[in-house]
Amino acid sequence: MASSKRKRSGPPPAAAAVSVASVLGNDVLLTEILLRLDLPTWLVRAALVCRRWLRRASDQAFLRRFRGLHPPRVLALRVVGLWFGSEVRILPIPQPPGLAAAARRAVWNLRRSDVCHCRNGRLLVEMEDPDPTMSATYAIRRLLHPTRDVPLPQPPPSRSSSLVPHDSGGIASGRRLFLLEDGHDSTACLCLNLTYNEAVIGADISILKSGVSSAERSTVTELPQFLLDTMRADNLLVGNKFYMMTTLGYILGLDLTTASFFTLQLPDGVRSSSSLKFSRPQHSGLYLIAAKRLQLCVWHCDDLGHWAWVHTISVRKACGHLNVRRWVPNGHRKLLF
Amino acid sequence: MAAPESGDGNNGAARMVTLISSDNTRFEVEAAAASLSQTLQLTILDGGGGGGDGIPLPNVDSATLSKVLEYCIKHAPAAANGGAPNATAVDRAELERFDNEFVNIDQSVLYSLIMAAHNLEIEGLQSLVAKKVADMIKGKSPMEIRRTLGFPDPTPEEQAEMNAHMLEYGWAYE
Repeated sequence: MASSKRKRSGPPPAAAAVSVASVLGNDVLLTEILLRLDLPTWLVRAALVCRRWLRRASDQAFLRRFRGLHPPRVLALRVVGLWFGSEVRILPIPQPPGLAAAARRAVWNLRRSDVCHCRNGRLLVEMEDPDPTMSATYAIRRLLHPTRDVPLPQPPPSRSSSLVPHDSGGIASGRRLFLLEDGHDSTACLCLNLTYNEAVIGADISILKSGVSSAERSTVTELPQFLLDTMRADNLLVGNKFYMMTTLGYILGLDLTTASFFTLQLPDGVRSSSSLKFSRPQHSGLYLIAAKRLQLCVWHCDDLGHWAWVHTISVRKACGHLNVRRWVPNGHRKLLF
Repeated sequence: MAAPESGDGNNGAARMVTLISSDNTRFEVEAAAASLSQTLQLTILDGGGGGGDGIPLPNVDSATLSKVLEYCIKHAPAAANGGAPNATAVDRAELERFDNEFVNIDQSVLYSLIMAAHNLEIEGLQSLVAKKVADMIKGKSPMEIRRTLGFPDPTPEEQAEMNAHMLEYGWAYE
C-alpha cells in the first residue's frame, strides 16, 4: 500500500480500459446491476464503493424500485399476551445468511425498546424516565442506529375526558402514538387520546410534525360495550383512518382528516368477537383476520367498505417452516399479530 | 411465424439480414434473431438489412457481436413464442443452462456485452449480464468489489471516506 503509483488490480488491459469506465459510468447500467443485489446489506456495501455508487444507491426512485423487487422482510413476531401485564415476546424470523447478522442486531435493539409503534425500520419508543412522576416522553429510533434517537415534543394533554361522563361502569383513558407515513418528515406522528365509559367513546387527535403539535380536534360517539372489551380490542392505523374492533357486530372507525367516527359492518358470516384482528393492506383498504382453532380466515375490505374473502390459512401448514419452536399453544394461550 | 415477412416472395426460408460490426465483419443472421434487439427490430421492420446493404453497427466489434448473436439465435425461438409461455420445462432448463454457461466469460467480454446489449436494447441479455456482474459483487466488501471490478486503488481521501462509512454501517459487514 506504500506504493505511490495507483495500481490496477484484477483482470484488465485491452478492452477493459474502455469498458469498466463506460459500463460503470453509465447510470442506467449501474442501476441495473445494483438492482440485482437482492439483499439490503449487499446494497449498502456496494454503495460504499465510491461516491457515484453512493449517490445512485441513495436515490429515492432507485430505492423504490429496489424495495419493489426485494420487498422488506418480516424481522420478528411480537407476541402479546391476552391479559394485562403479560410479557411481550419478540420472536425472530430466520433470515438468509447475508442478512442474519444485521437482523440479530436489529432484534437485539427491538427487545431493548419500549415500542409504541413501528413502520419500516423506524420505531416510536417511550423513553425510560427515572422519575415516575414525570409524564412519558417519546422518541423516534432507527432499528440499526439506536444511539441516534430523535426526541419528540411533549404530546398535548388529553381533552377527551371532558367529553365522556363518569358513569357507574367506570371510565378509562389512554394515549396512543403512531408513526405517520410522511415522505418529508420521518418524525411525523399522530397522538390519539381515547376516553370511554360503557356508553360512549371520545377521541382527541393531534398531529406532531416538525417538532410542533397541530390539528388538535375532538369527537365523541356511542360505544355501548364493556370497558374490558374496549381495552382489549385490536386496532390499526391505515393512512388517515384508525380502526377499532368492537363486540357489537361492527368495526368502529375514526377518520383523522374529518375527525369523525364511522362504522364498518363485519363481513357476512363473521361473528362478532374481541379476538378478530386487523392486518395492514399492501395497497389499500384493510384486512380482517378471524381465527377459528388453528385456521385463519382472511378478508379484505376495499375503500368502499366491500368485503371479499381472500384466503383460509392453516396455521400449522403456514408456520411449519418458520421453526418458531417456542410458540406452542399451551395453558397460557398467546395470540399472534 | 418466427420471422417478419420480407415480402420478397422467398416463402419457406427464413428472412436473413446482414449486420456489419465496427471492424467491418459481416454477419448474416435470421431476422427473427436480430429482432431481439429493439433497435434493430425497427430497421428490420422497415425492410432494412436485406440484400447487399447490411446494417452497420459502429459501436460493436466483431468479437462482441458474434457473442451477442450467439445469445440471440439461442433465444429467438422462445421470444417468437411470446416469452414461451408454453415452453416445456426441458426447454426452459436448456435455456437456463445456456445462459449460465454464456456469462461464464472473461470480465472484459462481459463489459463489452453489457454495453452492446444496452446499445442494441436486448432486454434479456441486459438483464442476464447485469445479474452476472451483481453476482460477482454480492457479499463482498467495498474494497473487494473495487478489486473484483478492476477499479483503480482508492486515493487516501476516498479511503478515509470509505472507512468512515464502514464504521457507520458496521451492521452491513458482520
